[in-house]
This record gives sequence, C-alpha cells and structure tokens, in this order.
Amino acid sequence: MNKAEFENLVENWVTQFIESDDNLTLCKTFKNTNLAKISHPILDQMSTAKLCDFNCDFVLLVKEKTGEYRLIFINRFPKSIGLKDIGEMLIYAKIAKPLYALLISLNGHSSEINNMVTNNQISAPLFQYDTNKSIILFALNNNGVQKDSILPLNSRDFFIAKF
Amino acid sequence: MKINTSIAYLVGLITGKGYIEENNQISIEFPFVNKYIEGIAHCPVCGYLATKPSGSDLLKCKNLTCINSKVAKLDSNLKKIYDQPEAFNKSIRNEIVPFLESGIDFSFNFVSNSTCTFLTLKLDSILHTYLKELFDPAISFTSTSIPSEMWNIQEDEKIELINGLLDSIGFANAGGWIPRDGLNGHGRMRIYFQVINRNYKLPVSIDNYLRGNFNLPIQTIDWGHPNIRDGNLADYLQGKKSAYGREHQVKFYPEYYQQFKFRISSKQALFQELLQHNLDVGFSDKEDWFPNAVKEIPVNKIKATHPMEQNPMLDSKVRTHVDALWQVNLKMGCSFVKSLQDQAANKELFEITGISNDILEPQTKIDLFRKISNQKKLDILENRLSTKKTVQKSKGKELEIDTYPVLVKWLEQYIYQQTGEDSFSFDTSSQTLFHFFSTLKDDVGSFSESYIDLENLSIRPDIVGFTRQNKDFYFIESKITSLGLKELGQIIGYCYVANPKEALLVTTKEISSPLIKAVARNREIIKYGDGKEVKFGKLNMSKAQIDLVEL
Repeated sequence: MNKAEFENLVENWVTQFIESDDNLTLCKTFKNTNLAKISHPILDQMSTAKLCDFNCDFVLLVKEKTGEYRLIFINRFPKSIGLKDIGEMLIYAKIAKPLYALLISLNGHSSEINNMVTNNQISAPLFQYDTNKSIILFALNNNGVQKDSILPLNSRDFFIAKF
Repeated sequence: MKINTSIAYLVGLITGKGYIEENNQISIEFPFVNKYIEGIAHCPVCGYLATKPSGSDLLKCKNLTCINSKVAKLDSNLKKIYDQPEAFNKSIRNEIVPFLESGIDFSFNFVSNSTCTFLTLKLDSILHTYLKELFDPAISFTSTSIPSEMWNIQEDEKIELINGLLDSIGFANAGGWIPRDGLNGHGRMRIYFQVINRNYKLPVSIDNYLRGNFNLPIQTIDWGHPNIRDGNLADYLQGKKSAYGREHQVKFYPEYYQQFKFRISSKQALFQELLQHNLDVGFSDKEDWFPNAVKEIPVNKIKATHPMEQNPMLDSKVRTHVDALWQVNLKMGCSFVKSLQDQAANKELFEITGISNDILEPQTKIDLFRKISNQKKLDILENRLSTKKTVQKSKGKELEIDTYPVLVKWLEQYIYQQTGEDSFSFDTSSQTLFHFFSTLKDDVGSFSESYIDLENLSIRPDIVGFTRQNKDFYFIESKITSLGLKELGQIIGYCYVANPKEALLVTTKEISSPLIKAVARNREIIKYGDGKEVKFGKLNMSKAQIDLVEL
C-alpha cells in the first residue's frame, strides 16, 4: 500500500469512526494544517485551537452533543511508530488537550518499544496527556484496526468499545 | 513447585525470549523479521533443490546435469509462501495460549506489530516467584540459560521446554542449507536457535541440555565472537568493528529432532519442508561438532589476533583469543569438551591447541600458536596499509552529523563541570551503544548497567554521555534546523522512558517562537521524570560552544 492509499484509508476510517459515535458530528477535516495560522469561524472561538502552532497529518474538528467543539489529532505513518513519534504527539496533545490523539500506522509500533509497552510504569506517562486521556496507537490496514496492536494496553478495551 | 508440561514450555519461552517483570508479569517476544517467508523449491524435472541466483527473480536447479541448471528459468512460485504475522498471531492465540492454560492459571495480553508479537502473562504470585527464583539473577533473555533444575524434570516436560525454545528463538529457514551431497540430491537443510550476542551462556546451555538429555547432535555453533565471525579482520578493517556481534546460532539438522515441534504454524510448516527435503535427499552422517571438531588445530586454521577479542562487552570468559568453536564452548561451560580436556595430558596445551597427547616442550607449541596469530594480524594490517587509498572528503553544506564531534567534546567538559567526574560521551550515529562499549579499554564497571538499560530500551539519542562513577547519563539531541515542538517531542519520548540526568535539545539555528510560547504557557511539556526539565541550547560551531537558553 502506498502513502496516498494509506492516507485515504486513514481518512475513510476516521470518518466512519466519528460517524459511528452518536455523540459526535464531524465539522471539518484539516490536513497538515497549522491551526494557529488559519482563520476559521469555529476555531477562532476555541482557545485551544490557537495553541496548535504545529502540524498534524489530520486535525478533525468535531461537535459534541453538548454543543462543545473538540479537536481530534491524528498522525499517520506508513512505517512503524517509534518513541520519537509518540513524544511528538505527546507534546501536541499536552498543549491542546484534544478529544483523541491517534497514532495510526500500517505496521503498528516499532519493535524498539516492545519492552516498554507492557510496563505500565513506563507506558502510562508516555501516552497520557491529560487526566484519563491517553494517546492511542494502532495498526490499520484494509481489514480495519488490528486489535492486538492497540496501545497503551490500559486503553485498549475503551478504544475497542468505540468502534 | 510441581512442574508440568505447560510450566516447562513457559520456562523454554522465557529462556529464549522472555522478560521477568514486576507485578507477577512475564512477557515473551515472538520475533519475525519479514512479513512473508518462503519455503523450499525443487526442480520439477529432477527434484533437486532450486535456488535463486543473485540478482534473478527466477530459480535455477542445483543439479549440474539437469537442463534447468544452465540458466535461471524456474518460476519462484514453486516455493510456498507463509504469512508470518498471521501465522504467529493465530498460533499464539489458538495453540500456545491454550496449551499454557492447560497447566497454568493466568490472564494475558497481546501486542503485535509488523515484526513481532509480544505476549504478556499475568501469573499467580507463587508461580511468578518460582520463575523469578529459577532464573535469578537473570531477568530477561539477555542473560538466561536453561535452569539447572530443568535437568531433573520428566521426559515429556523436557521436550516441552525445547518446544518453548523453538517457538521463541528457533528458526526454520530455507536459506540455511549447507552444501552437502546426499544419496538423491544436494543441499542439507538446517534449523537453528538464534541467541542474542550478549548471552554467551545460552548456546552452550542448549548444547549441553540437548546432548545430555536427548543425546542429540548439533551440527555447529556459530559464535558471535571476533575470532570466529571475523577471523580475517575483514569487517574490522572496513570500520565495522562490532560486526562480529551478531547473534550466536546453534544449528542442527531437523531429521534428528522429530520428537519436538513448533507450535507456531509457519515455523512448523517450514520445519516439515526442511525435514522432508533432508529425508528425501538422504543423508547418513550426523555431522555432530562434538567430538569431531575437537582436535588439534592445524596451523592454517589459526586465526589472526583480533583487536576486539579483549573488549569488555564480550563475556569475561571468552575475552580471549580462540581459533575454533569448541574453545568458546569449553570456556562457556561445555561439559563434553571439558571431559576431553580432563583426559588430556596437558590441559593448557589442549585448551589452546586441541592437542590431547603428551608432547615435548608444550610451552613452545603454545607460544608458536600465539606467534602465528600475531603474525597473521600483522600481515593483514600491512597488506591493508599498502592498498589503502586516500578518501577525499566532499565539501557540502553543514550536516547534523557535523555537529556530533563538537557536541561529544562539549558534553564531556559539561559533565565534568557539573559533577567533577570524568565521563564517556559518544555519538550514536557513528556507532551503536554496543559498539561504543565494545571499544572501551577500561572495565565497563558500574555504567554497564546504564548501558544495558539503554540497550534494552533501544534508546538512541544523537549524543550520550555516561559518568564513570555512577549510573547517570546525559542525552543531547542535535538539530541544524530551528527548534520547534516537533523537535521537543522527539527528545521527550526518550526522556520519559530512560529518565536521563539531563537532556539537552541543541540547535545551530534558533529556538522557534511557537516553542518558546508553548513552554511559557505550559511548562509541563518540557518536564520528565521527577520534575526534571529538558534544557535548550544554541551551538556555536566555530567556538565549539553551547549557550544554554532559559525558556
């Protein structure tokens, strides 16, 4: 699968993911866009959006049933996801506290983090960006989300229940 | 603890690729390098082995009298292809876990990616404590061996222990054949256990166990020792000083191992293919390295002295010169070679030369071996010098790698200023952590623990510094672009996992305003460990100086 095909796959999956959540409505998808540098009627009203002086591969603007607008961050990788990639998303997510921060790859995580993914002491702070909120990492292919690839482990059941 | 076949199998898995963790957890890594692995191809005309010549997509028959041996024209579809991630996941879920559950109570988790599946078991505290004590002081496969208690278990349990080793570090690979002629064909297939280089104990432990309990032959042990892997210094002279440090491989012929099985289906299918090939071709020689390989070492087999043979990353028992695999086995505790040594007239003479009988002036013979090794090294180096060409450095724009030597020197001075301690600093682009420690002349001492921690975590920032006296280490991540949030994110991941004493993010350019603003608003983003913060610096290359910047 080439990069463009994978990008389409990610975009289609995330659209379905949001559509399947009765609580959410997708307002707009920003691709590789620095939200702090654009003018948008909804983003302009969101204090967190102005903090997003960085580029994620996808940022989704969604509206919750309560009427509140939230952001979803997604970085996608045709390669395996390593520590640097998690650290990068951790910074973005700590700044803007998105509804979800997702790292999606064809291959899942890199073997370099095998040792630490099952060690909650290491993996919890590495993935956690807010109270009860963690970055979620997983492999996605034409068969959908590979459930065994979902990290961190303590978020797996929660995330599986979402789709 | 009453052992059963499930526990014995788990002991095999841990010995091969296990981590004994806290909280009653055990994790097992099941690695597979490639998504697909190919089986064997046989020529449709004569049935001989067909292989792919270099650079060709088609196959050629190995039978020189066959019409298909002239040019590569056989379709590679003759080979079966196995999807490893699928096979591993299904087998672990449907075979391995149920088998473990038949004798052990546990809950479990899978984590998988494109190169391995990681199985984590949560055991009851009694079994976890038993396993911890069984392997003590080892807590991972980097230093495990088959526990001595496992020599006293039942036959079916011993078989399951080996099955566990096969599933974790056993590999059946169609490319692992050796050129041998059989009754009906060519090429003899081998299976192997692959052991991480740091663990010198396990190959001998496996050899002793298979030989001692099952009387099984081992074709060879391919040691990742400088004299064995790089006997003519070829890798060393190409600058690949740690190339010898690839995994050890314990190789055996499948026809003698039919009582064992892989539970991972792709491995088992390949095992069956390789086995059937050997049975069809018909080989009668066991080719056991013991005792056949243990004999006087001929002069032409004496290896050149290798500059890495004393390096501190080798197990201290083999931090020496060797000329043959059995010498490593002897030093690592092979009871079988030891029995031959005990019968030898002169034990030191036997150990160095392989000579068992009494000879006149044994010390002269020993000295001759050493002299020949040293002379071979000198000859190789002299030959190298006469053929070495001057390589001109190409001029170009500044690269990140150009900053590394400056940063290495700066970090050593910085650590000294901060702590009053000498340090070892190096850049990970020019060498791995393993290589760095391999080239140290000093005893790695206390900081080897830090090295092992980092090596286990596969942490690789641009520059790493270690203090000599304690376990403290320092990271520098270097950039030749301005520093932004992305760059901060790249070092913070390492910091969360490894918790260095200090971490510096350094640039030859500027610190971007988004980063400055973000830190001003939320200082939490640069924090790690127990309140430590990533530091920022601007590198002045001409002055070889870093100006630390307060954000």
